[in-house]
Amino acid sequence: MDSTKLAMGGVPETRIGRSTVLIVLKRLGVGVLTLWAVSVLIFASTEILPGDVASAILGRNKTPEAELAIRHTLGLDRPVPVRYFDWLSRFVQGDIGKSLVNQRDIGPEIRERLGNTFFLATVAAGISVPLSIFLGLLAAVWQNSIFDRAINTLSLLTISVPEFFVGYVLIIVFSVKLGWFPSLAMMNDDMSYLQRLYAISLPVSTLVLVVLAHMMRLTRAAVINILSRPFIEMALLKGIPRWRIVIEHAVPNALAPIISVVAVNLAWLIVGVVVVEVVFVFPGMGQLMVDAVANRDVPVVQTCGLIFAAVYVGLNMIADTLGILSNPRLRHAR
Amino acid sequence: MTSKIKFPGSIITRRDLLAQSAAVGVGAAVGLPLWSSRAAAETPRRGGKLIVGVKGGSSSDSLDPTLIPSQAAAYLTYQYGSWLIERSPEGELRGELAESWEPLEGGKRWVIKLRQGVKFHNGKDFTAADMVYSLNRHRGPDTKSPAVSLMKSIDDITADNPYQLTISLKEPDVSLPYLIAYIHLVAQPKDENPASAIGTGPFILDKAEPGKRYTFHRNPDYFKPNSVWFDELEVLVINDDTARISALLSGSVHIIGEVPPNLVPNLKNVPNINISSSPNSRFYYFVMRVDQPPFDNPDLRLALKYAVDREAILNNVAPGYGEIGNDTPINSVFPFYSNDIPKHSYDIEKAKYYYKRSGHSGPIVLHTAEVFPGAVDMSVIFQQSAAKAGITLELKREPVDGYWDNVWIKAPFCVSYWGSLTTEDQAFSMPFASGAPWNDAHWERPEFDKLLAKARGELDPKARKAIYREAAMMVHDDGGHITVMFTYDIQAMSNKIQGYTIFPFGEDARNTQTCWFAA
Repeated sequence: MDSTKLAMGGVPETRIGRSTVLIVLKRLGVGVLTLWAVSVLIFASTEILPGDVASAILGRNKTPEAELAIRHTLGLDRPVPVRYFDWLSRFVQGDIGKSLVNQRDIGPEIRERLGNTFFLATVAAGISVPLSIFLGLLAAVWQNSIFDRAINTLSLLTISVPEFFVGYVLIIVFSVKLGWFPSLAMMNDDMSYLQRLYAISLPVSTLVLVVLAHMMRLTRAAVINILSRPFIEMALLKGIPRWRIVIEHAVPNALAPIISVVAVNLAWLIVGVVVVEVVFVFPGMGQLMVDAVANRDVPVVQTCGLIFAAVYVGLNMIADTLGILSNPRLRHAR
Repeated sequence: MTSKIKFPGSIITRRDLLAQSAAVGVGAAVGLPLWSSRAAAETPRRGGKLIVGVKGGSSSDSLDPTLIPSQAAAYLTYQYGSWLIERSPEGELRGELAESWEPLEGGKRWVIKLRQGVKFHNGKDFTAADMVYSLNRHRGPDTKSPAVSLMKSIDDITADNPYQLTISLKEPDVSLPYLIAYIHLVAQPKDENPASAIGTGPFILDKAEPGKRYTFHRNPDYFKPNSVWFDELEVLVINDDTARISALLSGSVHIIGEVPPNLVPNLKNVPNINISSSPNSRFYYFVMRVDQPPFDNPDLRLALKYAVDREAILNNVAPGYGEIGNDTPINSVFPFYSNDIPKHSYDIEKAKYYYKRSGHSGPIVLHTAEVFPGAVDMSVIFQQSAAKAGITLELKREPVDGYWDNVWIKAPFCVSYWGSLTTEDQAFSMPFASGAPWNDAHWERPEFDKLLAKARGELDPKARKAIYREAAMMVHDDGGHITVMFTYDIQAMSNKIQGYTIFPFGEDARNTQTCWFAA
């Protein structure tokens, strides 16, 4: 992802030591275990939910006979562990299965939706991560200036209103009143790359406004924290210009917390944007998973859940690794 | 509302129309230009791509007509499918794929002659064998179709020749033509994936992206002359109300359905937008289980029926777009509606009187959940209006998820609704007949069942109406439903849309074949 490359740019050139490889491998192992635990949890929780796919398909029109018929054809009358291991053995072999509700293969649908979700998240991250770090640095350098206060107030405002509200405001202003951008963020096959970018302009703006504040404020706080250390004072006394102190001395030391807050926000951009998807009618993963949960479509819920979990585990792992690489004390662990 | 939207007069005045269904249907089929007549004033223009925003679609929606799992799926069914018989905007039956229909043995056997030369979207000819196959998919022990209970009365369906089929019933039923106009009973080709949306309807499906978008193009071989003006059709699933309305306002879509009544005032002030509403039989009610105390006490039931302020609820939930309910499932949209049934209106004195007579004391638990927009409001207003009559209702909030599994039919007193009941027989038999799986009040009265059977065999419309009035009175006085209101469907559209027609019973999806773009 763009953002991770960007974060790496700030890291001094280094040879990845053997210990780092070991740490990464260990993390990978734990990650796989986490995913397995997640799959058990998801399966169990869909079992605990009242009703099953048969009653979800039939809904208000349920008759006992039709319910039994559906349960039998879908194999839902088998015991829970049998169904779980049946699913697991297929999943491990790469067969993510068919939707229980409409009997379609899950693969193509997930691929398309995941592609959309990643597209939206990448564009939003590509704008928000550099912007927030840049603004955060400026705010730290000009601490307590008018600029600092203005940007703090503005970002507090966008973070404290719910994201659907930000979305609606943008729609009313830029779509209904001004007519500049579409209110529907439909993604269709016949659209060019630029058309797609245009279609998602409003949801991207919403997401940028929502994640900006968090990352910016943390960057500012981390850098200010470093700037209050004695060695910075020393550098100041030696007459090094302020911008060099920030870029060469403060930022490298503040990287670890910045990287981890960026990772958390990136993960949110992928797994947490269902509300924004609904407001802009964006065909992403969130809506797919919500529909699947409502229909008790276990294979779809499982696959979505595992993808989401993998995103979190993966991003956290990358953040930790980068954090280690950016800190020589951790890099050369004994 | 503008002159472009036509309201088909008063529906209540056309009570004799059933004669047409019960007698011989030939007349309906001869009048070919029937479906073009109302558009004659303005000359329709061919061309353009219509984009519609619909609510209630999910990424798991299937296009198999035995399922029709959502409102969006229903909308699509009207685009690719046709039926043997359809209901005109005026409520009359007219042949769609059927050229004529005729009852034999007092309605026990029906001979249906089919239109010839109709082609499915896959190029194959439509024949009686296809129709027999299509209807049989909704019968029998293995079917998932919700039409199964309607089809129970059917004994056998046979193809007499390629263009004629016979439906044999176990008991006579003069409303069979209405029954086979039911949305699930779409004509489908044999030997084809039943979820492929291949039918004989006005539009041919190009691409289905469930929960998102469906694209169609005009069926050049469509059998109805002078209809279908748009070259292309795009149906977008927009579940969020605000998103749907802003899509219309920003010009991304031309027509939206399911406009929430409370948002209509905001839309009315917008230039270039027209609002239309169509009457429906959908009703919202509280259901009491009459087989369980305390609701086995008819006095308590009456007390509660008088303790609901229906007017306040309707004004709160659907101001201006509905009808007050009167504890029967029949409203003015039905041909056999009787408007002289005494009203159960909000009456504190009567409620107090019957409550005292019932001898009940203590709070009554009402299970509620937002299973339709306004369900909880409706329950809270009921609680307040009942309190004025000295009746204490205790509201128990239930999760929406799993409500139909765990609460409805099981709880002694809960909130619910019925949609898509399109004939008097359905409206009475599905929620009230003994042994019906969805008899949620558990109200079983053999005399009532006998009335329904009698009505099914009654060819004289006047006599039928009298029977249905009697049935309505039984449900009204003694039944377990507190029918609060009926609500209408509200659509909003760009003023570029011409020829918009009001179809009752939630069939406004048919407008894709009647409308065109203004020049």
